[in-house]
Amino acid sequence: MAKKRAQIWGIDLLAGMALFLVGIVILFTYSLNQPDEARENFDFLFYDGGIIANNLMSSGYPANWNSDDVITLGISDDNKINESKLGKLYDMVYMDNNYSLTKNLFHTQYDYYFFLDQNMTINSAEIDGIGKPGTTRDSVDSKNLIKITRFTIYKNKTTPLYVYIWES
Amino acid sequence: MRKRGQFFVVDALLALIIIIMTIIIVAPIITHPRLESSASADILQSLGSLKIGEMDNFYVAELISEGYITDLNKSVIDQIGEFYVTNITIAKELSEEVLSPVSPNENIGIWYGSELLASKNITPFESAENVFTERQVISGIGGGGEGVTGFSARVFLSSNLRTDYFYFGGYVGEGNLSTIINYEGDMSSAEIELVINNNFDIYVNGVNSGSFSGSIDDFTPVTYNFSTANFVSGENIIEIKGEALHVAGGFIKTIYNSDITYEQPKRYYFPGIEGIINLYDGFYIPGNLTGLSISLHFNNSASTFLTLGNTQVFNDSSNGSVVTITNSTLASLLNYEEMSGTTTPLRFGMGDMDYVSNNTKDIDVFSVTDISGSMAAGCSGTSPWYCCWFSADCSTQEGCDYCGGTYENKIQDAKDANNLFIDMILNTTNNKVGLDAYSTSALDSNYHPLSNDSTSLNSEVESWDADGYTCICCGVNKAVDGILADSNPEKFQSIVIMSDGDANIECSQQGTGNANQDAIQSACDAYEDHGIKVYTIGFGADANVQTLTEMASCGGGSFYSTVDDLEYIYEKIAAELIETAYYEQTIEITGEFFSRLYPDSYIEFNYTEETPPVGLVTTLEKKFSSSDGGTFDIPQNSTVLEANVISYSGPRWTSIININDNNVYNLSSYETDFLRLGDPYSVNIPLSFINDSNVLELETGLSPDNTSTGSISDKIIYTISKDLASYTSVSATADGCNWTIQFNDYSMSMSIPSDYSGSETCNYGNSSTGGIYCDIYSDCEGSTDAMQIATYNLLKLLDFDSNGKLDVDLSSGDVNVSSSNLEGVPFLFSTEVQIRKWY
Repeated sequence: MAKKRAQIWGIDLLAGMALFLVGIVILFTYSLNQPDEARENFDFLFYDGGIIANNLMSSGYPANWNSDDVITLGISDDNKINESKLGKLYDMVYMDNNYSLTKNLFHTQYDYYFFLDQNMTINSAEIDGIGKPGTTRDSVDSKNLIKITRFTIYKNKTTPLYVYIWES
Repeated sequence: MRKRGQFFVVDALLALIIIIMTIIIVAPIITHPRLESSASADILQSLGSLKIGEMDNFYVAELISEGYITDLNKSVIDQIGEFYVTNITIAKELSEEVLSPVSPNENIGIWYGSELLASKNITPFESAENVFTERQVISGIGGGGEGVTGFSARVFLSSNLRTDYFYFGGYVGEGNLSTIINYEGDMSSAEIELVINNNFDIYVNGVNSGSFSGSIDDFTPVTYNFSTANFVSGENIIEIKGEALHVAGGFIKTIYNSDITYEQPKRYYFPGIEGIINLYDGFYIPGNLTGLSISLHFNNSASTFLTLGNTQVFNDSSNGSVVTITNSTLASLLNYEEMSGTTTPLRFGMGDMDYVSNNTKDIDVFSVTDISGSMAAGCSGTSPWYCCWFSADCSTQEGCDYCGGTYENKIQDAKDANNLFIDMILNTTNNKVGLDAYSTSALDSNYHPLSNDSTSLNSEVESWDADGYTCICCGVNKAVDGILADSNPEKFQSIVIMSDGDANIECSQQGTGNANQDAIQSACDAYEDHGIKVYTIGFGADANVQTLTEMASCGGGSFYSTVDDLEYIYEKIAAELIETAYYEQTIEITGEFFSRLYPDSYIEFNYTEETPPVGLVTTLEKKFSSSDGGTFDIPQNSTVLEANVISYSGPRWTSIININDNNVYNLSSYETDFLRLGDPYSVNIPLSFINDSNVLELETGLSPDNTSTGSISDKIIYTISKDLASYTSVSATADGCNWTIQFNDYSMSMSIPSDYSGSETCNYGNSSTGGIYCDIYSDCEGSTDAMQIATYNLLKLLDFDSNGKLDVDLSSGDVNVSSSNLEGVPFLFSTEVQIRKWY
């Protein structure tokens, strides 16, 4: 009798331990992998967004780049938006349909869209912003979206520059 | 059995559920804040790149059109910096414009130095958890190398109020007194401080300017302001009129506007005396004496002498014509070297006249004490009334307290008071005290003849016991007999009689048939028949005040009353006796007599003068901290021009003055018999003895061996010159301010400069008003106006003790402001610009 009772308790203990170990494994798997994944996504977005914003706030390379020789896309000179460069970028994205090329030049796999507090004027036409075709500042929507705010001068006015980066 | 075997499984399942729930609930809550801060740097860089002339902004255009912005090539950040130091309001408004495009959902601000100029925020900066700051130091305005016009201001005081003192002597009498006050300008105030024996009126140029009360004693001055309405620029006669007046020290202080704020004295003016010429005074010669002359204008048929130091330089009568004593005469009599730089006593009066008496009187006084049964120790008011019979011994303080009664030991109080009285009177050489305690009669066993043996007298006091009835006249009569037996009329003879009740034993000597009337009559007899003054004391609530008052009145003395503080009364009477007996500087005249000293009499002295330093001249008064001395400090960066100790010595002479352990005045160096010497009320302190902090000691006396302390009302009056020009380094503006200035006794608002019409407010005072860039709390550091800074620095110089209150009276007209406009000189400043973004 005594020997039989001990066996019953032993099976119960083993089953309990097995279940508990399963729980621990689940917890570690989730806590180690899942947050990192989210954080990494945002890190990448911010990283890429930072590069895009920095590029936009720079003069680019070469300083007087054009769509053929551009290595780095920059639209600012002396902390002010260069309207000529802004027009070139606009043309690349919308006229030449080279949005993908601009993404490559920005070294990002994510989509982007940037705009100013005020509408930009390119070739006498007012535009909302520049970025993924078909996008406006109000239509951007994604699960993982970040906004980077910079500050610049456009048409001799101080203005914020907003850059949206999101995962397709 | 089966149930037990599932226990661990169930337990593990529960743990698993908890883990899964935790992941489901907590994981979404955990966020990964991502903060970015590049905007701060962008703003700083953008504002540093954008030229103000290029900036497309309506407000900026307005500033340009209105001339606030002149250098269009200046960067926005530099332009804000210029406005930050020149016009903080525009700086803030321009910063607001710069930040206006920033999203209202951001937290971002622009700081210059520690000043927040503008911000856009949804949460206050104070609650920020993370702050990103971009800094840039900007130095100077006009980064292109072109500076803005700078200003430097110089503020100084000139044409200040001048304070003059006319010092009366240590004793000036007897009769109506006068002096001449000469000034050019506008009189702003006139004050008089005197120890004066009677009520008096002040006349200015013959017009009554007020009636005032006399002093309570010879050591306590009265101080009054009187009307300046009757003063005129030029010569003014000030008269002090009353009944048989004499002044035992004092001064008239006038404050008026003058181009010359300080002059060293060249003459000593005698006070005018209309009555009996009797002057004890002194005069000070500031430098090396080279010449001396005296002009005496007086009218006296009796010989009148003038003594300087211990040398009599004049003794004659005059019919009112001016008597001149030349330098050659005086030089042959006086030692000019000894008089240089010192205060010399001066005595002008009448001597060797049979109608003049001015001797020292010794005191012979009898203390006549009530030791009737009512003076015995006792307990009253016990509850219950039989408590003392059964519960406690009420002959002791403790027993009486136990029964809730009031314990009185009048006989012990009387003994203590008598002992104090003996000590006080015998403190002066040649004074004597007699003791006479009375009850049903005045027995020899309770009597002690006049004596200066305090041990024997104290022993007699201790032998007294309270018993019997009250025969006040017995006590008076026995004391009179004692005085007549052992004293002489040359002495100041008096009786001090104390009683705690009603007289109930008559005296056949007076024979009025009434014990109280006999008591009154005995006092009258003592004074009228023998010149013995009678002072009376009513002790306790049952004393017969009427009888004692009439006794004092008839006896030429005073009546005092006390319920329980008998020692204090005896002390007061002893002081009164001592004071009354010492009337050396007071003369008594018998018969009709008249003399007059005119206030245009003077002593003129020539000496080597030193040019006083340029600066604001201020006269300060500091009272003694005790009757034997005081302290005073010289403010920083000040030069002492003159310092005087004023001494209310009463009937005594100011005998010794020491400063910082150096003797600067010693009357006995002239003569040990003070009666022959003058008594200066104002004693000058040679400047060479004055340090930054000074300790003064003063003694008065009747002779070198009989000295005493001075008066608590004594003070030091010193005049200083302080260089009070204030400059500033180059500042952005030099406009001025509407100042509120706190003085010691009042506050004043004034515009500096006087033609300032702006709205800026500044404050120099210890009351915080807030929001003011130039006040003592900010030390004016927030101001960029040279005029404000210079004025503030000047006011700080006038706040000698740094308590936020000016120690010098000013009006706006006293502050002259000049500014120098430094055209084309870059206005240099340095500050840190910070763009802060916070979350």
